[in-house]
Amino acid sequence: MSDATDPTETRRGLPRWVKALILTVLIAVGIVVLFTWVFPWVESNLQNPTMGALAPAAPDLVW
Amino acid sequence: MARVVRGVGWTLITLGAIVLLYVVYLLWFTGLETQREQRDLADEWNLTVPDDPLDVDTTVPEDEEIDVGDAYAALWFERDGERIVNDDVIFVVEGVDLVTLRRGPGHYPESDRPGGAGNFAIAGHRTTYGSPFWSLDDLERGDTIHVMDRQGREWVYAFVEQRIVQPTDVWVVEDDPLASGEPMITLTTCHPRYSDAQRLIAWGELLNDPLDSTAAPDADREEIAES
Repeated sequence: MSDATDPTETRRGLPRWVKALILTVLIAVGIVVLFTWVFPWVESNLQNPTMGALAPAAPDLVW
Repeated sequence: MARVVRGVGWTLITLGAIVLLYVVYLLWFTGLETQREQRDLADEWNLTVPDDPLDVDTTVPEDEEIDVGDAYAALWFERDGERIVNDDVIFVVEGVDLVTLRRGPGHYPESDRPGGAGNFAIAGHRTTYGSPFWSLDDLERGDTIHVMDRQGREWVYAFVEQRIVQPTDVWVVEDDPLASGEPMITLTTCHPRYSDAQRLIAWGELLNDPLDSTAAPDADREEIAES
């Protein structure tokens, strides 16, 4: 008698629709985090139109 | 081995998706945010600027206390009577911190007021948040820069010069940056586009006599109210 798994046997674990739901929620949360915190932070480091943004000293000259 | 390849593949796909989302954020999402903020500023403007030109005080005003982020002035550019740089009137807010600049171009608080004898300085985004200064480098001699203050006075500046400078060149927003002795407006924005490695600066000289300002023409007033 063989111990090989029957290929027709149902896989164990979460149902496929639950996995899809979890993945969808993770992607949605990821997008919210990206748009709310990550992208604004990156953008603020790349797009600063003010003068003195890189001036390290002379606080009265940093606008 | 197949597992590793699959993992690398998914990682690259995820990174690609994030980059695409960032492009969407930069080119579309930030613009939407600023568009909404500009509409709010237009409403605020209509509440605070007198409707009747006769109500305008034609003497040079004392500095009005305006909170950071509130509407400070309206700004537009003209060439031979046609609008340039930006099709819409842009509402300028008080302050130049990066959160404030999401609403629109900002007035450097330490600089002079519109129509003042010193330097009225404004910072604005070049490529994001509605890209108000995307085409600032299109300005040519003879173009005019128009500013309406909260009292409804229109100040007209003649564009005189633009220059690309380093971010640390803060002299550009100090009083009399070109040593001309004239009342100035200074506009600062990022250069090149999509980078803030340098700054593009545009200067204008006040055409009005700052002690004898005239009220905005009715047409301008109505146009701003409708924007």
